[in-house]
Amino acid sequence: MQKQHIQMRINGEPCEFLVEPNTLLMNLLRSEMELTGTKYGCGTGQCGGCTVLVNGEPVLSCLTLALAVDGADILTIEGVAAPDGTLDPIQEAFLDTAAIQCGYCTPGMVLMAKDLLNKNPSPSEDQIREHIKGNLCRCTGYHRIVQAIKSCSK
Amino acid sequence: MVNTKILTQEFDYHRPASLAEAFELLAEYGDAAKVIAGGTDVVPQLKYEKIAPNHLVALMKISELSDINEDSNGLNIGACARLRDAKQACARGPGYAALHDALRSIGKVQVMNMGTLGGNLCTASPAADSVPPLLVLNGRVTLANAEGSRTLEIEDFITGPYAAAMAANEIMTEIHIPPGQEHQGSAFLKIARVAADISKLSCAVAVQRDAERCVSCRIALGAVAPLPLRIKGAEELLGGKKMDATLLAEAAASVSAGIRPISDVRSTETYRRQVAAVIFKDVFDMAWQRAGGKS
Amino acid sequence: MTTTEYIKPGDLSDLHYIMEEYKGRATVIAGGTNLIPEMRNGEKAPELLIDISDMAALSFIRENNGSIAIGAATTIAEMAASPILLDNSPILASAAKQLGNPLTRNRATLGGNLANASPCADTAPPLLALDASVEILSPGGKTRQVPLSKFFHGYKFTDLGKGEILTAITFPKPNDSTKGSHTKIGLRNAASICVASIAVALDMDGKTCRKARVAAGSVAPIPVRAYRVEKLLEGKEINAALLDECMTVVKAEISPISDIRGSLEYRTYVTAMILKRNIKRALKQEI
Repeated sequence: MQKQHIQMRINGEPCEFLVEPNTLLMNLLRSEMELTGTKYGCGTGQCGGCTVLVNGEPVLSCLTLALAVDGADILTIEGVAAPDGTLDPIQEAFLDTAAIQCGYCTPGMVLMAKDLLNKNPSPSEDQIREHIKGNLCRCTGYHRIVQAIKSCSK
Repeated sequence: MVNTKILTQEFDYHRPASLAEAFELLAEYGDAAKVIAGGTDVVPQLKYEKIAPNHLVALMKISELSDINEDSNGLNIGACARLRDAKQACARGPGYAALHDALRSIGKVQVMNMGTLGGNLCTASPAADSVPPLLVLNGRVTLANAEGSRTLEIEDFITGPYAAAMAANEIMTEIHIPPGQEHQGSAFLKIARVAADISKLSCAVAVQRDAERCVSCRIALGAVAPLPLRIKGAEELLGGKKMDATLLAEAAASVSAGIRPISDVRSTETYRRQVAAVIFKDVFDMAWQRAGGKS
Repeated sequence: MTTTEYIKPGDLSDLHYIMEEYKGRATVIAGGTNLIPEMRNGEKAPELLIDISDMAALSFIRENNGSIAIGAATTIAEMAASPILLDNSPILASAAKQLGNPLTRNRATLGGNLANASPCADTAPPLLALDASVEILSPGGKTRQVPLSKFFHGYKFTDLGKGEILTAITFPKPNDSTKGSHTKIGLRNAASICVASIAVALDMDGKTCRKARVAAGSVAPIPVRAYRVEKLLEGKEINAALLDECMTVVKAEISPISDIRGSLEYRTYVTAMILKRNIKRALKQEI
C-alpha cells in the first residue's frame, strides 16, 4: 500500500496528510484530526451519522476514501459555529426546539439542515423531511428536528 | 469479522486524469484492479470483503465521464455523472420520466451527491433502481477500452446478480436514452421498508398510446428475480389492445406470475407476487396518463 | 445465588485471623460489582464471603516518601476525585473517572478491578505505566510485593495464591519531568466496557525521552506493557517518524481478539492511533 500526500481544508484550516489508500475520510477526521463530532453509525451508508460537507455538498464520510477528496473543502460539525463559539442559527434552533435527545444523529442533521437552508432558505415541511431522509434518528421521531429546521425557514 | 468502522483491505489507489491513462492501468493490473467512482457500492463491498482488489482505479478525475448532453438521439449521461445531476438531466423531457422517477426515489441527498449512474449499473444489483427504467426506455450503455468502444442494450449488459457483460479492461463511459416520442409515457415506482432503503420491489412501464388503445408497452421489474426482468408475456397481452380494467387486471396477473421473487429479510415471495400486481397497475396508470399528455 | 457464610472483619488483625482460619475456602468481596453478577450468573458459588468493603485500614490514598499508596478497598469514585491522584497521576484518575458508571464507581474498588484480572480492567494500564506494585497479604500475616507487570498471569488469572488477599497498590510518585496521557476507547463515553486503551508515562529530558512506560488494555489476554515501544522511545528525540514507527511496533506487540465490541483489525488500528495521540498529548502536541 503506497501512502499518498493529500491536502484539504478542514473547517477552513489548510491541512496536509500522508495517508494510506484505505483511509476513510471519517477515520481521518475522527482519529487524525480528533474531530469526533462526525459520528460512526453504521459504516455502510445507511444512517447518515457520518455526514460532512465536501465542497458544500453533503457526503457520507464512512464511504469516502480520504484520497478521493484531495484538494477539497471539508466542513464538519465542529466548523459550523463561528470561531468565537457563537452558534449558527440552526444550532440555536436545535437547542430552542429541543430537537436533540441522545444527540448521536445531531451533527449529521445540523449539516443537512445547513445544506438545505443554503440552497432553499424557505423549505416546506415536505422538503425538509425529504432532505433529511438519509439521516436516521432513533429518539426524536423527527418531529422536533423538522420543527427546528422549519423555525429557521425564512 | 466484518469491519465497518475502518477499511482493513489494503490496495494502491490510482487517479488517472484521462481515459487513456485509466486503460493503461487496467491493462497493467488486470483482474487485480477495480474501478471506483462515487464509492457508495465499492466501499461497502470492500468492507464486506465481497471484493479484494490490489488496485483501485478512481474515475472521478476524468471530467469527460461526467458530461451530460441531449441531442436528437436522446439523452447522453456520462457514466460518472453524479446521480443528482443525472436526475436533473432526466427532468429535461417527458421521454425520460421513468428514470427520473427512479433517481428521485433514491432520495438520500448524500448518496445522490456521491453515487453515479454508471456505478449503479456496473454494480448490477438485482435491486438497482435505474435498471428497470432503462430497460423500458430502451437504454443503452457504451463500454470502452484501449482498442475502441461498443454499445450494448441494457438488457444485454446486465447478465446476472452483480454480473455485467463487461471485460476487466473495459470502462463504462456513457448511458444513452432515446428521445421520447409523442403519445409515449413512462413511470417507475418502488416499494421499500422505509424512505431510504433498498427496494424490495420496483416496477417501470413505458407505454405508447393511441387514444384508448395501447400501441405497445414495455414492462420491467427489479428486485424480483436474480436480475431485473422484462415481463414480455404481459407486454404482448397489452400490445395493440384497447385498454380496460379487465385487460389491465389480466396483465397484472401475468406480471405476478412472470416474476421469480425470493423470500429475504425485506419481504416474502408471496408478498412480492401480490404487491407486484398492485404496483404494476399503479405504474401502468401513471405511464398511461403521461402518454395521454398528463404529467 | 447461594452463600453459606458472610463475615465482615473489623480490622486488619481480624482479617489476618479469618484468612488463616478459612484458608482456601474464603472469597473476598469488596464492591461486588464483578462478583455479584458472576454469582447471579452461576459462574461462582463461594462458600464464604469476606467483605472488606468497610475496612478503613484498606481504604486510603496516601503520599509519603516519594511513593503513592492506595488501599485495595478504595473505591474508584474516591480515586477519580482524589487530589493526590489528580495532581500526581492524572492518567490513573482519568481511568478511574471512565470506569463503568457513577453507581459502579461508588462501589467498585481498585483491588477488585485488579484482582479480577480482566483484560479490560480500566485501572491496569495507567498503573502499569506508573510502575506500580501490588501488596499482597499472605496467610500468617506476611506481606509480599509484586510488580503489577508480573501480577497478571493470564486471562482472569493472577499471582494471588490460596488465602492471599490484595491489600494495596503502590507506585513511585512521578517526577516533574514525567508526562502522561491516557485514552480509553469504548462504544460510547459513559458506562462502557473498554475496547482498547493506552496509558503512557514519558520521563522527558527536553525533547529526549529518558524513560518510557506504555501500557495497553483490552488488546491481549491481560493488560500489557508495550515493552518494544518503550525501548523504541527511550533515549530518542520524539518526532513524527518515530511516532509512525511506534504505531507499527505496537501493532505487532498486541494480540487482540474480535468480539462483540470490536474486531481484531479495529482494535489493532485504534490502539496504534491512540498510542500516537497519547504520546502527542503527553508532550502537548509538540510533534
